[in-house]
Amino acid sequence: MTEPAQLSDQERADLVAYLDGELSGEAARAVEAKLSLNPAFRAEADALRRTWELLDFLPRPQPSARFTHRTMERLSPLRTGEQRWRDRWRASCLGLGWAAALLLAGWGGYAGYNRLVSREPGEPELLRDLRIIENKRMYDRIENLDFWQALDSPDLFGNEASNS
Amino acid sequence: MRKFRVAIIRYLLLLPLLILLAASSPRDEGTTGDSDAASLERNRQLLQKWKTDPEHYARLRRDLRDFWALPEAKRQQLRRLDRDFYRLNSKTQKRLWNVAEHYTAWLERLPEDERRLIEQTTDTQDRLRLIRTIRERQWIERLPQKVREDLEKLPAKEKSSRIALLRKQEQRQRQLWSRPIPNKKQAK
Repeated sequence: MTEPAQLSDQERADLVAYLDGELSGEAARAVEAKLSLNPAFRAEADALRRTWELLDFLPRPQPSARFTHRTMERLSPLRTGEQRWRDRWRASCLGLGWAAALLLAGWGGYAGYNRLVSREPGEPELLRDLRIIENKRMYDRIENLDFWQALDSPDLFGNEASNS
Repeated sequence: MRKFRVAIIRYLLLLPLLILLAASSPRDEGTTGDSDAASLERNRQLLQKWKTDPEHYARLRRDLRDFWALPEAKRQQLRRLDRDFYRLNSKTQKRLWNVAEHYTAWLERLPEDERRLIEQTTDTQDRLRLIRTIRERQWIERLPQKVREDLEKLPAKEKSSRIALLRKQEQRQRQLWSRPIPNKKQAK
């Protein structure tokens, strides 16, 4: 029985690549020719296939939760400009949303308080608007200066005002 | 550096909130221009005087409460009227005040339904038209019976020109009456 010829490193690399489906075209056809003609090549291929089949029976290691987190953290500087822009936009929207909510709550509280709690005017208001308060009964009936001036017409109250 | 930028952005987002809170904080309504220090002092003295007249002071307090019970738009309208009125010269103010007194006295003498109709007419021109109609009717009612009957017989167009003529005559008569009577000695 003759000892099968040893495969060179290049031949083994080609065979592994072929079995992994990484070869195509001329290179793939060259490996297939060697497999049909060279028993040592075929034996090596069988040995490799069996080894890989055995590997399938081994338990698969599970990555830890920290692994994902750390990987993502390391990848974050590599994120694309678009992703970064999207993240910033999302943060801005969130901030604006909060600001708008606070704004609305503040305004609603203020308006609601003013509407519900009746304000009793005191002396400061009387001092400030004394002239208006004094003339209020007259102003209530006049409302605007144009109307007042129009009343000063001979067919309305102009003549009476002139005679008194 | 990045943390610093994030902090600045957060504060910028809070800025509109602070602005709105400052804007919405309670503050004075628009004043009449009557609220400078000198006017306030004058008002204080007047108020001290009126406090000695309990009836007048009670009326003021009542009117103050009524004023603040008005909608804000109405309060602003009265402030505007007061501001516009006190911008006029004193002679015009006096005359218009006289007009307003005659108008309010007339309004108070009107039957309830007519007064309400006038007060509820919001458009200035419509209200003036209504007042003019009532005033004309009242004027006709005061005419001598014979003149009134003759007027009623006229068609609408002639009636209005006749009313205008009669009014003009009345006005001329008033002017004559208001002239001082010449002294008999001077006349001689």
